[in-house]
This record gives sequence, structure tokens and C-alpha cells, in this order.
Amino acid sequence: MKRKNKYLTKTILYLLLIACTIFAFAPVLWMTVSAFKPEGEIASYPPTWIPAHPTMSNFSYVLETFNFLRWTLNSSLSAIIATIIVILIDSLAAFSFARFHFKGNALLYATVLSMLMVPIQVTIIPLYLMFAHVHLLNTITALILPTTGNVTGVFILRNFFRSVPQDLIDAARIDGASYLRIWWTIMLPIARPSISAVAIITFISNWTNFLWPLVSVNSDASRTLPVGIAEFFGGQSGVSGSAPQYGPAMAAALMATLPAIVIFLLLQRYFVKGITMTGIKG
Amino acid sequence: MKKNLRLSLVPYLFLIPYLFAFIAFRFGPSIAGFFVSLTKWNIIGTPKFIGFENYSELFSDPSFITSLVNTLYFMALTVPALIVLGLLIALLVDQDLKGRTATRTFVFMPYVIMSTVVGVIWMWIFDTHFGILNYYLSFLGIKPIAWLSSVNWAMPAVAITTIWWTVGFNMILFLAGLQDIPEELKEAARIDGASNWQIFWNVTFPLLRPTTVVVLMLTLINSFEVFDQVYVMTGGGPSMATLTVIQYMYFQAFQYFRLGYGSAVAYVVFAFLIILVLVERQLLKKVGEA
Amino acid sequence: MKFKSGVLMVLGLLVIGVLVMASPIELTFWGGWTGPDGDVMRGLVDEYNSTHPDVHITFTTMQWTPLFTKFMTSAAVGNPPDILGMHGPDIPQFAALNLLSPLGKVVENAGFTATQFATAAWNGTFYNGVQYAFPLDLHMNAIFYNKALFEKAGITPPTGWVSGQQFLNIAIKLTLDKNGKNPNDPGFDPNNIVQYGFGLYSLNWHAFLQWYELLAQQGYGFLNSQNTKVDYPTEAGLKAWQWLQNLVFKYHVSPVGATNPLNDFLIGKTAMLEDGPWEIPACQAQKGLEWGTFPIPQVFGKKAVWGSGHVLTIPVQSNKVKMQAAENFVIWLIKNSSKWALSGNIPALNTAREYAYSLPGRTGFLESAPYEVMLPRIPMEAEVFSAASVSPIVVAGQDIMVRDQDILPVMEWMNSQIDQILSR
Repeated sequence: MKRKNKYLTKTILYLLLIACTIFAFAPVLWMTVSAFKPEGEIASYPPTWIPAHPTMSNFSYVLETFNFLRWTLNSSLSAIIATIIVILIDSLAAFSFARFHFKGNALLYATVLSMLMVPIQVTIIPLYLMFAHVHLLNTITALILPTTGNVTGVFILRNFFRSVPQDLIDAARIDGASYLRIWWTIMLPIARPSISAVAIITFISNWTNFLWPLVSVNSDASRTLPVGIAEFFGGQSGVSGSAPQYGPAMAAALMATLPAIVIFLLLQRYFVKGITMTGIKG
Repeated sequence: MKKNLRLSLVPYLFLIPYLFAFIAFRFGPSIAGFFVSLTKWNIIGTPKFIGFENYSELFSDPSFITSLVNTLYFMALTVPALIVLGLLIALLVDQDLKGRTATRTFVFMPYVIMSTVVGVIWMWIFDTHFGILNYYLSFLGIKPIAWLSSVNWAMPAVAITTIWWTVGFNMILFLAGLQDIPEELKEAARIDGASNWQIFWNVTFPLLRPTTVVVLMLTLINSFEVFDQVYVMTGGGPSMATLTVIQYMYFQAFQYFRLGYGSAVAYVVFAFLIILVLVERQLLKKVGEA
Repeated sequence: MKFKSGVLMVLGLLVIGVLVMASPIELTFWGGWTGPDGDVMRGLVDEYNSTHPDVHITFTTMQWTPLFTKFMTSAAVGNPPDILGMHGPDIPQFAALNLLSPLGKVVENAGFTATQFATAAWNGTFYNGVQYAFPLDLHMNAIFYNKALFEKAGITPPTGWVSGQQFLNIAIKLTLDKNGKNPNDPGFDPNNIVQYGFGLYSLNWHAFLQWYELLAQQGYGFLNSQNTKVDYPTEAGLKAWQWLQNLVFKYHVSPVGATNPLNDFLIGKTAMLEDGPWEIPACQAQKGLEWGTFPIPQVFGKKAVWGSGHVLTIPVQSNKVKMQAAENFVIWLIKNSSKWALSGNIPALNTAREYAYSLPGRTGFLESAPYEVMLPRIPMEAEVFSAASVSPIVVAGQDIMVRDQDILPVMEWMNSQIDQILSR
């Protein structure tokens, strides 16, 4: 009886898994299929899920007409560097906020957190004028630095570090470890799931960011993917005054999605059982 | 003594690198933005100080009030769904099931796609005449729905897109939170004969509280600051039915170049969010005590 | 020793000098042509680059709205593009901020005169009597039609201007419910229409433009002559909106609130579409679509159609060498603008426009060119004639053409909103 019950539960769980996948993936699949359709076939009714005349021409158009590989490189470089910096400085700061009693801790943390509530758009023009003043517009540096001031990472990690048992830290202190060492050898490994979550979020937000890269970068050589892809997005029909080109847009979007998926796959491995607090001690 | 002094400096030293970035790239520009909100400025030329005139104009601006009401409606549609679905999906893909990595990836995948593309995809899905959704609904005998062009359906359509687009974000955070719960605690409960449901309710859920607080707050903020999906799907129409606050700010600041006015919108948003988050904290405290 | 090093120095300087001379002047060119029209422009830029080794132009496209955001920010820090495309009515908002160079002398020295260009295009380059741009093209509304659907209904497509009533009759014949009945037939079911006669824009700012041209057909403009207030007879405004609203809600020949009228036309859901020539490449690409164009119906007394035109401007900057090079490029581009006709847009230069006659589907646009009316040229264009959802003209269009609201109160609300913006 119990066995049967378990079997039923498993089946339901699998069905739910499939349902989630379909809801999440169907629109992505539509994007993928469209990328392989010739332009004249994308607008068709009833909708078709298999291209009648599959073509790679959208991909070759994007790759040959635009500096697509360069954009990909810029996006990857800025997102990866920004993510590494964020992980390092945010976890240090979060460790400090979470585990130390010092004067001004609460006030400082409240100030940091409050900035989460100031819409990022309001900072764009001041940031722009600042970067123009120090002659850093049009550089990868300009794409990286603003991300490093983000609040989300500190917020998530501080919350996690607060739940780490004090015994672990005390034991390490008795063994003579410095706080820097504790941060590196205990806090970082123990927080692997949270760190990977922060890394994924930071990477993606940098990867898909539009407004700041749009205003801060002029030259094609330092353009990122979202801004680059906007180069051939007809957008809402009629308003922009250019005929839409869905095919190349979808092909570019698909290619722009793949590297981020790879990063996700690499990092999501850390969401596994076993990296528990006891696992670290050994 | 010397050692103690050095020790007392440690927390500050740890904070320095982050605080530098924070002040230079987030705090400083935000404060500058506040000063901009006290001026009349179109970026060319010098700002003209006008005190709180922008703010008083805002509260007699019917479009702005509309955008505030719409934003609250959008939050009501998305926040509960994003929290509940995010948690449920995280619990699901946390199980020891085959294919869970694939599902994790698929659920997260939409979050990776840029907003312009999300807009194009969903405009195709929701189109009244050739949209995939109406096509399949027609098999169920449902008449074509004007998803994006009717005042009643446009916001729910945007909400559905938002849930699809961002539920992966919450799933990731919940998933990380679930991983942080020591397996031994659950194991111990299991040995004591607790059912799966009891384990979830008595062990997992309470320990997930810190994560839930984080996710709830981030979701509230992100929903209040919704911009991209509305901008690309409906532009805020029809008849301003999907106009949201940040979108209104964007129009003012980046299309009309009324930077002072736009910045004032941002600081009204800030005030609203502070109140919202304080209320949320109080509520959670009460729930926690009960 | 001294001599030797002296010779070396001179040689070195020579080499550096030659290198400096040989390295081309780098120019940046921004424009909002994000569709197939962008490819045509890219081709022209490539041609110029390969025939002029002393200059290298980098061409960047982006939707007009973010493009102008970018232009403003880059101009604020003194780093604008060397050449900037825009529309005639966009000129005042930037010229009023002194961001564009006056080009009257340059245009004159290049040998261009008013008579060589389409009148609307030439006039569109001026603001307050100063010429700020070179006219590149005209683009106006016309009716695209689906040849197969016309044939099926036994209708011969018009080739020139038709009256409103004639147009309506055509649209009614081309509207079919699921039983194959027209709106005129008894038992016609307006809730189950499978094919519409006429697709038009009701959700975006083109709704307003369709109204604006009908106002012009009655001989009126939208603003007073100083462009300080809304000024047109209420009766004329009502009649124009009524015509549009009736197409949707009385005659049922146009779908309610179509989100993508172009695609509706491409897949044969609508038999006709009012749109601009920039959609020509999309029609050409569509598999199995046979199409043509004719002018919009003349509903009222005069022939008039909304249109605009692309122009090329040279933003103000300190580098005179670059400005000179930019001027040379723009002059070359205008002289070679016949190829621009491939983008669908109708070249402004008379001699270049000839080429457009040989291209398919241009009839409706070429017929319309002499009757084009542009929006008033005002510095507050971005806000007054905004395509954003908060724009009063957009909201009015949606209220009337999507929500079927009473016209008069909506129109009065729109007028007062626009007056308020203008008075700021």
C-alpha cells in the first residue's frame, strides 16, 4: 500500500516537472524555431512549430553583418569580471555585517539596504557624467564598475552568514586562524549554494543590462550583446519606422542566450546535497 | 592591546572594498539623483534649482497617479504567484528526481533572455489574430481574447509574462536556501517517524524563513520597479492601462529629457518602497511571534 | 654623430607624418534604420568607404528613441556622432538646444537648390528659417493591398486616389465572416469575422497620424500658426475621428485593437493596410504574398496624406576637419540617394526619385508625394507628438479607436493636455 503511494507521488512529481518544463520552455522553443525560419515564413497562421524550409541564413546574416563575436566577448568579459569582483567584495562585506559587532553596523547596513529601493535608472545620468569626467566612457571598465556597487549580493550573503553556527568560527579562532582565513576557508565554501546564486544573478543582470551599456558605450568595439542586438530590432511595428526582421533578431537572441545557459549549468552544480556544515569540517 | 585594536579594525577593513564601490557607483549617484530631482534640467546646460516643485507637480499629475495604481495592481498579480511558484518549483527540483537539472535549467532559461526578445516572443503568443495562445484556446471553444489591446487583459498578460520570465530567479534563491538546511535535521526528524509533510512544515519551512524574507523583499522591489516587460509589450497602453511608475520615470527622464521630474518619480518610488518594506518587516515579525 | 642623429630625426618625422596622413579620418554615423532599410544604408556606407580611402565611416543603427537618448547624453559631454540621421520634425528639439550645425551655406555650396527636391522634404529641413539638414527622403502613408484577395472578391485595385465612399465599398466587399457574408449582407456576424477589409493602426501613435491627415484633407492643421496652441475646428476633428471609428465599430471592416497590423496583412487576415513605405521590404520577403499600393482614400475635400522624411544632420563639434569630412559624405550620399529607394523610402532628390518608379509597389507612394503633410515643427516635438503610452495623442487614439468611447470628450481632453504641455 505504502509502496503504491510512493509510486503515485513520484508520478505526480514527474508530471509537475514536465508541466514546469513545458510552460517555461515553449516560448523559448518558439524563439528557437523562428531563428531557423526564413523571414517570409515567420508570420504564418496557423503557427508552425517545424520550419518548412529550415535555414541558417539568419545566423550567417547576424555573424557577417555585425560584430557579433566582439559583442559576445565584451559581454562575457564584463560579466565574468564583474561577477568575480562582486563575489569577493560582497562576501567580505556580508561577513563583516553578519558576524561582527562594531560601531555603526546597523546604520551602515540599513543605508546599504535602503539603496536597494532607489530605482537604478536615477543613477544613470550622474554615473554617465562621472565616467565622462574621468574619461572612462567607451571602455569595458565602464561596463564593469557600476555592477560592483550592487546591493543584492550583500543582502543575500549577509542573511546566509548569520545562520552559520558560531561554533565553527570559534573553533577556527582557537586553531589560530585569522578572520581573513576564516572567510576564505570556512565562510566561502559553506556558502557555496548562496554564492552560486549570487554569482548567477550578478552574471545575468550584467549580461542582460541595457540602459547603462547603451548610454556609456559609443564605439562598436566595446558594445555589449543587448545593445548590439538592439541595432536590428525593428521593435513595435510602425512606431520605429523600419520593417521588422524577426529572424535575425531571434537568431541573435538565441546565440546570446547560450553562453549564459552554460554559466548557469556550471554554477547550478553547487546546488546539490552534501555540502552541509558537517561536510566542511573534515 | 595592540592586538585588540587590530581586531577591532577587522570588520571595517572587510567592508572597505565594498563600501568604496558602493559609495562611488550606487550611493553617490543616487544622492546626486536626489539633487537632480530638485532641479529643472535637460542634461544640456546647467540645472536650475526649483526646490520641491517637481514633487508637488507629480502629485497633481493624473498620469503619475494612474501609474502608481497600476503598479500596485501589477504587484498584486505577480508577487504572491512568484513567491509561491518559486518555492514550489524549488522544492520540486530539489527532490531526487531524474531530469531535475534539465527542469532547473528550463525554468531558469527565460530569465537569461533579454527584455526586448521576451517582448517580441510574448507579443507573438498573445496576438489576437495570429497568436499561439488564442490558436490553442480556440480548440477549447474560447473566442479570441484581445490580450494586449484590451484594458482588462493587458495587465494580466504582462503579469503572466513576468511570472514566466522571473520565476527562475526566485527558484534559484529558494534552491540555495534549501541547500543551506542541514540534511541531518531532516534525517533526525525522519528517524523520529515524521512524514514528509511534517518534515517540510516543522523543519524545512521554519529554516527557510531567512531565505523567504530575502526573496519576498527582492520580489516586492522588483515588482514595484517593473519596467522592461511593460515597455516592450504594451508600451504602457492601451489607454495607460499598463503604465507603471518606472516606465513613467523613463519617459520623463530619457525620452522627454525632463531629468528633474523623472528623478522626482524615482524618489517617490523610494519612499513608497521604504514604507512597504517596513510594513513587510512588521508583518513578518508578527507572524514569527504567533 | 650629430648629423646622423639629425638625419634620423628628420626621417622619423617624415615617417610619422606619412603615417598620420595615410590613416583615414574616422567618422561615426548614427541612424534609426533597424530593419532592411539599415542594410541598404550600410551598403551605401561601405561603398563610400571603399571609394574614399581617406575617410572611414562607422555606421550604427538603433531604434530612434534610444538613439536620441544616446545623442543627448553624448552631446552633453561633447562627444556626439559626426553624422546623425533623423526626421524633419525632429530637428527643432535639437536645433533649439544648439546641438545641430546650420547647413544652409554647405547645402548651397554643394550646388543643391529647393527645386531639385520634393517640396515637403526640402521644407522639412528648416527650423525658424535656418536650414539644419540635407533632405534624404520622404515616407508617407498609403494603402498596401493583397492582390489575391482582391481577385477573389472580383475587385480591380484602384491605381490612384479614390473617394472615401469608394474605399469603404471595397473594404466592405473584402470583409468576410465565417459564413462568407459581407457586413452589408443580412445575417452578417460581426463576432466571427475571418477576413477584414482594412487594417489600420489604433494602438500606437499612427492612429493620431491617420486622424491628422484627415484633418489636413479638410484644410486644417493641428496647431495655430505660432505653434503655441491647439487650433482646429471641433467639427472637422470630430468628422475625422468619426470616419476612423466607424471603420472599426460601425462597418466592422477593421479589427478592434490589432496589436500587429503588418503581420495581419502579411498572413492575409486583412486585405488592405494603411502603412508607410518602410514596410515594403517585409512585403517583398513574405512568401506567397502578391501586393501593390495606392494612395489613401480622399475622404474630404482635399488630397492630403501624413508623411515625414529622413534628413541628415551634422551635430555641432569642435573638430573642423571631421565636420568637413562629414559634410562631404552627406553630399555624396544625397547625390547617390537613388539606391536608397531600395529601402522603400522615396528619395527626396528629384533625379534619384526617378529610380523609384522602376521598383515594384511604389505607385501609391509616388502618387502621394506631392500631397504629403508633415507634423508641425516644434522644439517640444518629443513630448507633444510622443509615441509613448502617456502621450495624449496616443491615449486619445486608443480611447476612440480601441475602446469606442465618445469622441468629443476625448478630443477635448487631448486638446487641453497638448495645450498644457505647450504652455510649459
